[in-house]
Amino acid sequence: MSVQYYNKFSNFDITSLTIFSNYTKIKALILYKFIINFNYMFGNEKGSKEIETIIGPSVKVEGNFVGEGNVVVAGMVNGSLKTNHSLKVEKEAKIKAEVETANLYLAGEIRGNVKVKEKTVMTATAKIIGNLETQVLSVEAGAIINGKCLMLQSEKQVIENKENKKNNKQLV
Amino acid sequence: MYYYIYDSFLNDKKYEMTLYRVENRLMDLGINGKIEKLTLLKSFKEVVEQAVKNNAETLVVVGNDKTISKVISFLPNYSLILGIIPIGTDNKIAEILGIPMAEKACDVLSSRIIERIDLGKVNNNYFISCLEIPAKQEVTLECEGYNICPLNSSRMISICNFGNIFRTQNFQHEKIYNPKDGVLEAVIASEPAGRGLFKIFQKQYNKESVFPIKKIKIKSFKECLPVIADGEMVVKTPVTVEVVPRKLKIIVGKNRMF
Repeated sequence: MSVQYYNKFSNFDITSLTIFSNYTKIKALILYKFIINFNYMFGNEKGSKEIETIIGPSVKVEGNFVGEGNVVVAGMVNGSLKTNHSLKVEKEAKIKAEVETANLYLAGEIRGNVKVKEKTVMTATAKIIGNLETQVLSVEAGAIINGKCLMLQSEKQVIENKENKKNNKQLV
Repeated sequence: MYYYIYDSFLNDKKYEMTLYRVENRLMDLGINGKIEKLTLLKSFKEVVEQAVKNNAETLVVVGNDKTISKVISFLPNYSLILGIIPIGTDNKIAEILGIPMAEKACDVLSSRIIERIDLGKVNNNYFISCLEIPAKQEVTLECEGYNICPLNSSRMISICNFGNIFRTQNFQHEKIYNPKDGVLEAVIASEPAGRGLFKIFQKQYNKESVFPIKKIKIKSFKECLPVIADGEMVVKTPVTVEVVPRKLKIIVGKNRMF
């Protein structure tokens, strides 16, 4: 969902103003950044540009769903579910699908294989019936995983391991 | 060149003074032009075609939301810039675009901040704000690769460009979506779960489903359902709805909500 509002200052560059002293410019810049951050943190959605999909409890999605932004699931999904951003599965959600996502916050149920590029967070009510692939895993007591859990290495770790192996060979 | 179209409800005497003030302000700003007043015998389409023949560049619609809805359904077929002078009640579209009422809108016109905004298209008719369809179980929304089926508790399906501003009198609490993002939002509102007083408290916690879409087919299996565009035009299912990115050039105010 892209809730966007007009931001009056979006194209405004304070540093281009020559009539003010450097000190005034810096003060204005700090104030401007504070206003933007305040808006962002406290729900004034001016400036937020992410497209978000919400699959609510009154909806059932069937087929190959590909989300362009963050996805929140509170309803039912059958088929497959992909997104390059984050996926949040709420307590009442039921997913029977192959899932691929960058980050996963799971409080509901997934029946199917799950591939997470980065981080997976499972709450006490979370349930995965299928295999899980992830880099980082956080599991709260009570969560259920019925399947294989494969911890992937990040690209950095893969490069480091290769370098270590090379070094070891050279030493031998 | 500016071309002004007055809606037929402005022929009422109570708007005489307001129109007089608007015309005076336009004269002061030097943006006056030809004025056409709609009557029962003159349709919008005829007047717009006449404006195109007269080499008009900017078409200014004087009226309310209904006036804008009528003209939007076919205006994008012509390469005209749209301006609005809101008069009377129900001017939610103008409010979102940051255009003040009556003679104050003339200043917005003269400052000419032009935005290219997306429009929705339903079976060859354009809409600016939203489409509304009653959510029934036999309704299916077919998107690219997947289907959306509303369940029992669904109440209303809206396909939004700005947002469903016609749903309530006070739309300040409604979400306003960005009409420049190249997508429409399919919003499926659900029925509040509680009863009586609990309904009021639970309303805010009920989640709407929101799907950003570019093209969608809406089908109903049993009966043809009415699809209301911009609270005015009615089409029947099955319909194909798609976004037409940056289709309309429109004059907006500084206080626009997107």
